Amino acid sequence: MIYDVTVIGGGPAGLAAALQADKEGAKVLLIEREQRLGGILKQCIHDGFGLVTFGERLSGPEYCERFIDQILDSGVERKLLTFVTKIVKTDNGFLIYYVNRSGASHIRTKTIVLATGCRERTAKQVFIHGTRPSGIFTAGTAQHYVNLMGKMPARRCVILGSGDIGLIMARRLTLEGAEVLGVYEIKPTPSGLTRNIQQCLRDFDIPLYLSHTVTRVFGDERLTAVEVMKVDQHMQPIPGTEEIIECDSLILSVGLIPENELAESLHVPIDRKTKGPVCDQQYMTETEGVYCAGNALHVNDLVDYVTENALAAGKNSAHYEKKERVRIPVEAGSDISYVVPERLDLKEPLEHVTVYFRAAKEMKNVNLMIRIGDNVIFKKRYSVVRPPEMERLNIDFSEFSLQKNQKVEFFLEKESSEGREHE
Amino acid sequence: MSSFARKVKKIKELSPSIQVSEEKGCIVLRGEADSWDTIVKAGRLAVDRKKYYGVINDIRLKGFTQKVKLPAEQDSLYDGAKPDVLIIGGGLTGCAAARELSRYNLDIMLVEKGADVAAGQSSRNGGAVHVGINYSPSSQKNYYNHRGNAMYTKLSKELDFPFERTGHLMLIGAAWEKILIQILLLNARRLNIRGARYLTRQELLKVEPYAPSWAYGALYMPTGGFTSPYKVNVALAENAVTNGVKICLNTAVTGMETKGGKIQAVKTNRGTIYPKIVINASGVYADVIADMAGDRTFTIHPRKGTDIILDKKVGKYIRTTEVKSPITVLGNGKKLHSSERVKMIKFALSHENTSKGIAVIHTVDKNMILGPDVQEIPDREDTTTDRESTNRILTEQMKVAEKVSPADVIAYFAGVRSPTYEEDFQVRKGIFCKNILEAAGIQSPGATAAPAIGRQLAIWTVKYLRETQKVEKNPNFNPIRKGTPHLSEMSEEERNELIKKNPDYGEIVCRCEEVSKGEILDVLNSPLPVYTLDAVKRRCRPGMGRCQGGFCSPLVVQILAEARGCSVDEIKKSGKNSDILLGSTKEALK
Amino acid sequence: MKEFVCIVCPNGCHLTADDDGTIHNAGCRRGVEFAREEMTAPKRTVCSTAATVFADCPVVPVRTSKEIPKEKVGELMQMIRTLCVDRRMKRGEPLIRNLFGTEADLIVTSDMGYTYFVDTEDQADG
Repeated sequence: MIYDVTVIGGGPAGLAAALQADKEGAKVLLIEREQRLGGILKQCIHDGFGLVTFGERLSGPEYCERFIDQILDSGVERKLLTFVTKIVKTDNGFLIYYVNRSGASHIRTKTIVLATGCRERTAKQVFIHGTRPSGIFTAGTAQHYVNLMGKMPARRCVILGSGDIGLIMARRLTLEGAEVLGVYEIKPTPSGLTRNIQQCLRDFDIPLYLSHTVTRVFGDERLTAVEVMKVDQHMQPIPGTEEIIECDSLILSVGLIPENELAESLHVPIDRKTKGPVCDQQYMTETEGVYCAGNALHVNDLVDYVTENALAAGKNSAHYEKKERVRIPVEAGSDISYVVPERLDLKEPLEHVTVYFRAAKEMKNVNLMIRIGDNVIFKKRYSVVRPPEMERLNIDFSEFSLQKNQKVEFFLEKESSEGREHE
Repeated sequence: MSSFARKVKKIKELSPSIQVSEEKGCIVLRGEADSWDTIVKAGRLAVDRKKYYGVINDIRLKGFTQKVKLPAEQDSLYDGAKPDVLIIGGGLTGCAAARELSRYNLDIMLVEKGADVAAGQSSRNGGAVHVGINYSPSSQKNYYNHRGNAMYTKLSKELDFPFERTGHLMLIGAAWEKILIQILLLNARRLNIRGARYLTRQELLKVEPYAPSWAYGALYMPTGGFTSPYKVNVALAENAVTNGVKICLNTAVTGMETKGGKIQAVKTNRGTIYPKIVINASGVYADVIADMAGDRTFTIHPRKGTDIILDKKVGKYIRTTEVKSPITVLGNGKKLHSSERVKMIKFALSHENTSKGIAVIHTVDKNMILGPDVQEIPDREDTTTDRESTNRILTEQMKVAEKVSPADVIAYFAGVRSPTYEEDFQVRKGIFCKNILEAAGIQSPGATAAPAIGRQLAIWTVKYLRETQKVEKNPNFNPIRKGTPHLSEMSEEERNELIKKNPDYGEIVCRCEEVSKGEILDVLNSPLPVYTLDAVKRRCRPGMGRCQGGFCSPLVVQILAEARGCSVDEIKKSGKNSDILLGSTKEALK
Repeated sequence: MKEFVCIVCPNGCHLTADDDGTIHNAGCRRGVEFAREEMTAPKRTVCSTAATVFADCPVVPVRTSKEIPKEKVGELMQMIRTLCVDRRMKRGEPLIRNLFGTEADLIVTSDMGYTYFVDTEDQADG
């Protein structure tokens, strides 16, 4: 027996990919390492999910359970509490090795959709020094304790990093009676969405300190204090600006990294910027038959985009055929930090290509330009672009008669005064 | 001028306020100084290995008092205990001694002030099993390292801990540096170290395919290896417990009563213990404990070292343990004058060269470790890390591990070594106290030497006890300790078989390190179960990987609570006050 | 002039309101409504968890089905604290109806059936 599509990961990306592949008629297996489907959305009890997909503001559990309901009624086979240990490429597909409470075994599949999500950067990765007390948590871990176990990891806390989960936890902990002393962000601009700064911090009078970071922690057993410092424009701490803040916990929201250990074991090339696999407009990686979706591909700000890209990956994986490919690079040019997809396969449809990109810095009144060789083929004006806010475009690349030795480049250009006159 | 007078003069030049005297065979320094550096220098100047037992450096650092971290427990759990042997310290040395002694029918107690064994430098080091090629033949370091190294193969089989004899490499950058290798090879012959030889670059690449581009050649020492010192320590402790040793965690020695040159009683935070003989294996506090018994002839001066752990992804770039030779200067292209070369070689071989050089080490868990560096500090328990050290180690060691980048760092930690000013071990019987054995100054290569030191301490202990009582072999002694299985290293068939027997082995809790619930429960069913997050993490790795416990720590906390039959609130990171959770939601609103 | 950050959608428009109540910079109509409300009677959706008697899900996520007056948030949190769910509830089921007379309900947002849902072992094997 061989599956057409095996989806690894039962979070929002995996659920959508599996459902769509099933709808396209494929024989689908969904593998999830936890006991319950839903991934990280299980613990995201705040609202705001699904505005694009359902036109409603749902909580995370509501959003993912709408997909889970469909999965249970579909032909998708499931293996829960099942951990993939190894993937081996074979002549006509892949062997996926796994373990679960029934044993260690493997299955065969023609294609794979990697929907393994992402993980949080840790205190060590942002080089926090000092002692090693308890009381230091990533925001996601704190969220697990609060929202799934009903336990308080903090009573009086400092939050490092203004990523969305950190902001959401600031509000959540405050609502549960904890004292949030402040959110410290090393960058000069917030990392999270503006509306979260408003509804999670300002609504509760929680101060946000930009260009500040936590440099040291104190406490032999439980955390007793942290040292914060101002940083210069190179994000280096400025001597003399040390301030000691007494607190019992430090919560980190300092970034997410796609989990791609399985992809790497298959030698799937990884984009250094997104830290996800390089893929084409079909969301197929550089390895034939391996697709990628959701936060494993690149870290999204909205689950709706995860769903959108996963539905496409699921559909494409169901119709996979081995064939000759002509892939040309899509590159992130000046002031763009990344573009997804990183490749266009000229042998696949080019009419409706969804492109996600992020600006490298906050800019006002800019034009997004797409260039092939010396020709600018596309231009769109943005009144503001910000790195925390991913931009999405639909582009018809079929009209540009792309050739195999060409490349597509995205870049941002400050609107010139001359340009404005023409408008 | 007598040698003493010359010493006094030199020390007075350093700081006129330091008083120097000769007392009970020791050279004693007193007074106060502004800088720790001065105090350490004075201590070094006072050393005379032939003339004195050792240096007692009691110069106070202005404005500094040692803060001793004591366990929060205060009870009388062990009050009135009368063991034959009391071992102070649950590090490698103490646990090795405990296990060796458990071969005899004795009442053995081991007290450890930490919440787990290996709380100090035994868990905070890179894990190299040293060759000892640069030791002086008459040193204790040479004696115990040589014997300890040889014991590791059998010990790892008996106690089921990971150990691989992959060899160690010292890299050189230019042809002239071969002189140093020749000198070391001569020493190797004197010390009876087998197999050491020079490798050309081509030969080096066969041993270490990712050797740095600048490496001209290397000294290869096949008797070197690596292990997990923490796992060795736990294995020794568990086997000791199986064979009857009582290990008391969270128990600190706070004082002693002595009479007629003998210890009568040992006070702890959990009651007074009345042992017949005491083994001092207390690491950074060895001189303080020795002093309680009136047997102090040495001073421990804390020497901090920081190690950096890198992701498994780069683990493949090192198979052995590599160090850059101490005379290799990289990157300035300047030709060294021959007198400078001689000076460097002399320094490299001298006692003043206190470090073996920061190394790049392959670990048993297939990560890579960079470190440790060397920092003389006043605080014996300062295991904090700082940006300067990690940056320095990274910059320096990325020259040896050329494929590594700062993004590969997953963790770092610091440990405090416990050298004496003589820079040698002090493994001896009591001089001024009849019923104490000292195992002091045990620092690098302590992990390698510990099994041999433990054996020696056991022999002396039994001899001492036999003066007054009959000591028989323990007929039930079992040298074999079975570690918990590592399923991720097994074949599909083996793994499947185990899971069929115990489905918990099929439930993965830690995704980064692929640790199952069954493996965690095994650790909690071991002879020395420790129900803390740190102990479980160190024993079977959940939380050790790239996410550092972000995903699995809530799950491990729940498994611990379930296994102990308590609420998750009761589970600690390590010590009694290291709470992880601070009550339930909703409570705070009351 | 007053400034607001719109929280209706992820765009987070920076709105301004003149003294006469004219709203500027709103990307959509809902933003205008938001700013009007924010000036007169601000409202928020509240999301939290309620305690249960079930060991496999000690808490269940809840939220208000509609926004409630901002000044009532603290009071609602106190009400949620006293709740204890003692039966398996379905997603969308109300725990408290008609909060503060606003017609907003406090609803459960996760189907508690899932909390003990594990697929029969290896249905896909063989």
